[in-house]
Amino acid sequence: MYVAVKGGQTAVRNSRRLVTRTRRGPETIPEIGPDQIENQLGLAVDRVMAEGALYDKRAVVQAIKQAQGDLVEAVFLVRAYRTTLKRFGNSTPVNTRKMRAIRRVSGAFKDLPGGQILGPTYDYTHRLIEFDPDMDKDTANQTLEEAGEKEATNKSQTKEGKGAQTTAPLPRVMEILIQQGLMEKGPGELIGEPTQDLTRQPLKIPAARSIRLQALARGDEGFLLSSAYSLQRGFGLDRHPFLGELRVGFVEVLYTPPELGFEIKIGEIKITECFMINRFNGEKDRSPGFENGYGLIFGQNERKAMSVSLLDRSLQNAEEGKAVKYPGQDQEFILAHSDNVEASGFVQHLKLPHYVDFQSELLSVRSLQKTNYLEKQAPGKTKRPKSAPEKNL
Amino acid sequence: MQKGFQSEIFDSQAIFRTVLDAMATPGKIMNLPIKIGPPKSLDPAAGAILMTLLDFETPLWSNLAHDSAAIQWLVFHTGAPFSQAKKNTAFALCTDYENLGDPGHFSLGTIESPQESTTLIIQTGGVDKRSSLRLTGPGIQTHTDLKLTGVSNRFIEKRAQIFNTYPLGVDMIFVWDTIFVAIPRTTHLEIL
Repeated sequence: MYVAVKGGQTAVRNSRRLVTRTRRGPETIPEIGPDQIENQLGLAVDRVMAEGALYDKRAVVQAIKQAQGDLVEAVFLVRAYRTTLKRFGNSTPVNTRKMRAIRRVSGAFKDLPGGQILGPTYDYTHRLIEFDPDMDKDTANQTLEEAGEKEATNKSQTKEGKGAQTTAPLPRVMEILIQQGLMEKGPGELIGEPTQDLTRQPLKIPAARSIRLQALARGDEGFLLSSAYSLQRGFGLDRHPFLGELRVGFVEVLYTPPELGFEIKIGEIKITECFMINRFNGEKDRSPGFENGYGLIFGQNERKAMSVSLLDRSLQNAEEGKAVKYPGQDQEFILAHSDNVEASGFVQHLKLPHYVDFQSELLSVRSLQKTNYLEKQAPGKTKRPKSAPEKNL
Repeated sequence: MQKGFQSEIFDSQAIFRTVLDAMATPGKIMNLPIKIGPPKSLDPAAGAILMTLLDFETPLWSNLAHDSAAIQWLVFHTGAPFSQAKKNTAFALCTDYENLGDPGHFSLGTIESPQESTTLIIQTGGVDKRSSLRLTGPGIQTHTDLKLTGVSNRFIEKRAQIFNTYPLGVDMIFVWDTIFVAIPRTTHLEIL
């Protein structure tokens, strides 16, 4: 991360003043408020929460506003803010089986136990820009609670069975496959065991799966999407993957304060969980079946959760000793380049003064020109043209 | 349970800044910038520094028992896990300064992650500028002389044995009442 800029104090001050001014726009237009961003740009908020690795809508909304809608910049602000927060402990792993789902679909099974829940999705919209300002009017009578689109507040604790949401435990498709002997149970490495925390320790390659899933969960959506797409197009995946299950909903966050000694619920978070199925033809000591890829993301972000699941599978394959031929199979390529705060810092640091670095390049190139190039142009002639005095740039 | 900081944010920030300065200028005697009343067996400076640096992810080792008032106070306010083994600890509180063991028994970090070493907070019988130890190295213009009352030459000799393992090593903060002085792993010690 490169953030320090020195020199030109007045110019910097003026630039900062200008950014404030540009951000606000004409005073005749009402200022956008945090409530509007939170409620009307909810998916942007979700994206910044996921990539900022902080479930804090108030902070994220402020960051989006302050970054003028530049979501990657907002992610940077949120990451910086999260380092100042006091850490007091680890929650128990969230139980997605008890998720209050607002959406749950499977591309592999039509009649899965618990049913398919379409919920709010853009998948079936016509992708026509509705220039009519009243586009959301016909849904105005439906409350958000009915749509399932709200955390259970203290006032309205989980209204059972109302609207689109479901409160009955939804069995995981992955577990059904395991029960039927079609998928191996896996080492269960992620359940309840203390895991390393990527936000506390630097990324070390090779990384364990728990670390990989953390990195992917906060990775840049665009990068992960394109990397997963590259796998699908043939740069790493031999077979067509299937969407075992994709669910979006609210889960409880439980924590045991050491001085209390028993578990308490400290809140609810909205997450997207995805599970992909890949066919496996069997090996010497493993029978044919299916293999899984998994992704869990803050907020509603299906595109990203699916991309993460595809990449998780591909990176697991590589870990199991399969050949690494393509970027999407390469841990270091994916994990070391998926963080957009790091990536944008390194790319954008080129805007900072490099005058001395460049001066040395310049001298070096000029002397190369004089010796190599001129001699090749005129072999044998040792006499070089008198060079003009160099202008200092 | 005795009270911790008056103001968790501002007190810990002030102490952190002072510890930072102390580490940057080894051998410089620092004064505790705030007031704090830890249990009896803890010097205020040791209590304040540990309260600032510990949290639920940093194991603490000590020669004091887990159920002693001092350890209970630190654990209650910071949530730090108490470590039985010297090797796995992020911080160590040593109050028995006359019988300090080998600093090499603590974590020295690894070549890849030298920061994963133990930081020792050592209570002494006094810290002053009398010439007993000569400090040289990064952060010191020429040399700094120091006396750490009660800290044996044997401990300093043991420390000399791990000095050459840099970038591995342990960072130490010596404390007396409300003053403290840092001797990081880069500082060379000579017994005068």
